[in-house]
Amino acid sequence: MQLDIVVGFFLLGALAQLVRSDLRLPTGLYQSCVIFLLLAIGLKGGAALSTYSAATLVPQSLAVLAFGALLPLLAFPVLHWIGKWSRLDAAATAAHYGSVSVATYAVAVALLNSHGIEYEAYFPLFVALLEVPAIVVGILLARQSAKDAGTGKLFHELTCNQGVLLLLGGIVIGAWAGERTASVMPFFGQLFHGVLALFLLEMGRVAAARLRDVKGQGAFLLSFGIFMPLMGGVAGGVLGSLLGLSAGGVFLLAVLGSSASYIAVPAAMAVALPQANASVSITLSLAITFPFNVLVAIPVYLAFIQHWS
Amino acid sequence: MHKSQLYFGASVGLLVMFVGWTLTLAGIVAGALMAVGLLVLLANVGYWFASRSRRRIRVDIARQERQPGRSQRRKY
Repeated sequence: MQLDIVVGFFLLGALAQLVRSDLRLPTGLYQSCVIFLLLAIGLKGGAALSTYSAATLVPQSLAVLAFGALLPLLAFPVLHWIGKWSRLDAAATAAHYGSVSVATYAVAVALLNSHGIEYEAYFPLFVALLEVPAIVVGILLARQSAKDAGTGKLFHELTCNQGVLLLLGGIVIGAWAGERTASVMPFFGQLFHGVLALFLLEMGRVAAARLRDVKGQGAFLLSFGIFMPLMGGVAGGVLGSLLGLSAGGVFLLAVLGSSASYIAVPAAMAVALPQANASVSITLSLAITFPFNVLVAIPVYLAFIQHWS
Repeated sequence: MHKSQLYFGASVGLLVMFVGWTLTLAGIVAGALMAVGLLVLLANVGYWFASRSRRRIRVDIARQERQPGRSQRRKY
């Protein structure tokens, strides 16, 4: 099992928080890293998009959308009936697990690149697509109509949040520019690993800061935060195989199924389900699932894919 | 902690350990997965016993407060 070098920065950030160091990435720099990563992923995917036909992309995109809607339906019964959570909290948290984490995806892409494993270059499209259906399903599970939450505001949050906007924007620019993206690629391509390392340094610190909340919430949080990414990962891997993706593609879809959102969905849930306990959802996805994915699940998925293929 | 949560957590822990063990047998290094499974299992069992002992303490306190002699002694 091999960990990518960027994971070392994640561990360093976590260690800095645990020893109460004053290490902290300036907010502006952290924001810049987020913007850079989203645009870099989007541009690369967009540039590759023009080489694929709609006949390939449309059925796969529909399958991925259905996958995004299915994951919260898997998470909700566990949280509501086994965890005895309220319907509202269970639905809001389930939505987090149906959506994806771009940072987890970036770590997976970095690992594939360092191992020289090929994958379908249009994957950023799937990342953007997977942001939305889980939020809709989460709201429906909470049985709170979008009208109550303010349809306009919710739609705005769904489509215009930073993550979706930059990712889709990058894809559109990349698809439009095609080979001309080569002029910006020295910046967005070669600096990708370095910026990801900086981003993960801060993420490690933030995740470790939330560990205290995990202790207070009990063991169920830990169990669910480990169970759900594995179920999502298996489901994603199976779907990737059924769609006939390459080994790298199957791996990436497993990682996307495994990841949980902690940026886009919390923002949307704050609008749609403001009464839900946001702290518990973010703690779960950020302090348990994200480190588990980066440190354990992603290397195991990769080893499995390499062994399988 | 609810019993259903304990059963779920213990099942997840055992399942993850089993998957990690199976993958290791198949030649895929998954020791970390086994370790995580063990951690989940131990955390659930630990929380269960901790919550049971807390509940027992609460019951004892309530019983003591119901006994008039003891409450008199506490009052004066």
